[in-house]
Amino acid sequence: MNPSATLGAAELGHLAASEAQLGLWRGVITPKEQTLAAAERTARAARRAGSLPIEILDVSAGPLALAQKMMEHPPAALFLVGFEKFSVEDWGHLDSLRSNLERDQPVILFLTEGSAEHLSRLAPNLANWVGGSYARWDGSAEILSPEEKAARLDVLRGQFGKTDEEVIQAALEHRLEREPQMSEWLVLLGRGDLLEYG
Amino acid sequence: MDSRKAPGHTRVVTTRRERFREYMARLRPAENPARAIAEGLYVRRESGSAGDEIISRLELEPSSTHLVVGGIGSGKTTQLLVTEAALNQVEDTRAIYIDVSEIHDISKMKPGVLVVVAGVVLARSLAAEEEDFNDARYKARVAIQRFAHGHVKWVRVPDDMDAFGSEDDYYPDDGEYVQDEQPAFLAPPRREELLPEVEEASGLLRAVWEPLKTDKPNLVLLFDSLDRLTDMDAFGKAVEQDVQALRKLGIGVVLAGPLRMMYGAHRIIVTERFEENFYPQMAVDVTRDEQGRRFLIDVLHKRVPPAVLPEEACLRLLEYSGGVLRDLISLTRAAVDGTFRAGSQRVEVSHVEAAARAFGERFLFGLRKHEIDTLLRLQKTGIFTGSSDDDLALLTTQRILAYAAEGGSWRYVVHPTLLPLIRQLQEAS
Repeated sequence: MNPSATLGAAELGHLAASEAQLGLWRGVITPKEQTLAAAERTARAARRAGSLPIEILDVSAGPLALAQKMMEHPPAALFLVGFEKFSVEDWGHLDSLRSNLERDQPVILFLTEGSAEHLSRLAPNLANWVGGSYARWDGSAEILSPEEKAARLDVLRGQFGKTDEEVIQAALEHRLEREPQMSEWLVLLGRGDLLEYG
Repeated sequence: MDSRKAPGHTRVVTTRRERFREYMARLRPAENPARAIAEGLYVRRESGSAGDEIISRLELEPSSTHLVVGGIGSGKTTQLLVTEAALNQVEDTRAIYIDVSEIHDISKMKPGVLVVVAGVVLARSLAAEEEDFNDARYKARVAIQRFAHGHVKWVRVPDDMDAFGSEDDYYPDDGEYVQDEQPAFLAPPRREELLPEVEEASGLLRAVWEPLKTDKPNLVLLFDSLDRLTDMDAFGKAVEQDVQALRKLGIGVVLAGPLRMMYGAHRIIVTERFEENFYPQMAVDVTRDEQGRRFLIDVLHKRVPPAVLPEEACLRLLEYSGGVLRDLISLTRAAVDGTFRAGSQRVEVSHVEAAARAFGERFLFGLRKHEIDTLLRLQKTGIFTGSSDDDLALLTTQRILAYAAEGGSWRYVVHPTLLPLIRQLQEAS
């Protein structure tokens, strides 16, 4: 099964940063053996895009350990990896623990295709939190074609009512808004070096 | 750069962004319903709800037992919370909502768990009142907590005990005899008496409840999360033992139970134990229930104003949600998100369509050929028997939705976001 949306590290990172207090759950489907790499790249992008702490949690110790970690964890966006080690029983157990997984910050599940199927079939209560917020991991998403780059820049200009020059100037003068889209804008303009100015 | 222009732009943009963030914050599928109620987002259904019925029955009969069953995200927890709040307004009644899974790992369900969980919660009430100076209260509280969580007991070892033997190995040599318990010869068809450990827990619960009776003699406990149980036998035993124990104590009980209870052999538990006090909390039948549609539109407009979420988009969202409350919230969140990203001011039908497609795709994960056949057959004939585990899995994962129909029967449909996708699959094959 293919979710029609594909997202790369930059956009996922921006989403995690911009949805800091919304407690939204997302599922990202990656090829086998790439869940951790995808989570790490997304975490780097999210840290660049905002100030919310990002933590990658390995869930392979089992559902109960995960629930305990999540209950005790200070506010942070949590990126969960390692579901491919879950047994059928683990998925059912995780589903029964759902009340203990509630958080105010974003949670992203990095799943293989098989794990996504198990989530859907064996943990319907948790899957219900994710709803339709699934995307397929696109490891090459940062490499946009010139047309895609131009189209995205047009959307940003329209959305914020600013020119590229205004955004660069604001970054240079340390008064650029701390918004994920502003970081994305600078990166698209090839001025990622200005991110630290923001 | 035009420095006079930028701040004005920033202010307008920020206002739009802040507004959309506010809408998104009110559209959280994973939000605890208690918070939604506290934030004033609860909408009462004019045509009545399961909660309304339970409240009126418990007001008259405070120790009665009730079962609410429904699909995921259909609003069962909200109904329990609203019931709790309403019952606490009754002068002589104390109602307590309990999320069992927050206190006990429900994958390890066994007889007595609900009684002990109830005791632990009441013990917390006693502790909160800071009345530990009262010895009886303190003892009752500690006893139930020890029973629930275990404790270390110091045992004096008799002098004549074998130094290498355990306490169990000790056998008195002074002429005493250990009683040899004979098992019952006849096995009653249904066990009515309580198991010894449930009986013991029940006594501890009584002790911890006693001091709380002075201001409010009636107690109603609302147990949530049991709808997530997949082991129907465990649920059956909890009903047989715990609910019976609570009933004997005169405590009213409201349970959120698994949807599977409505089907197959487990249905007998519903019939025998709950009789009239069984409330299916089903999806709102948006294609046939005009009042239900108005209710769901009110739910949405509490979160997003009509200027941003116009009627046309609302109705399309209702249709795709199949009347499942949390699905409606999820779909609306995705549509509002799409609206913001597109730079639009209000949700258009195209945003709803995109959200619905993404929502439906998740139902395709792991869907097998014979399940697709079942879904297509249901769509064509309207027939769904729910007779196999695979059938029930389609229902519990909400690929199939159930609605209450006339004459106490059920009407089944394929989830409206999944239907177009399986049709496409069928055409492609």
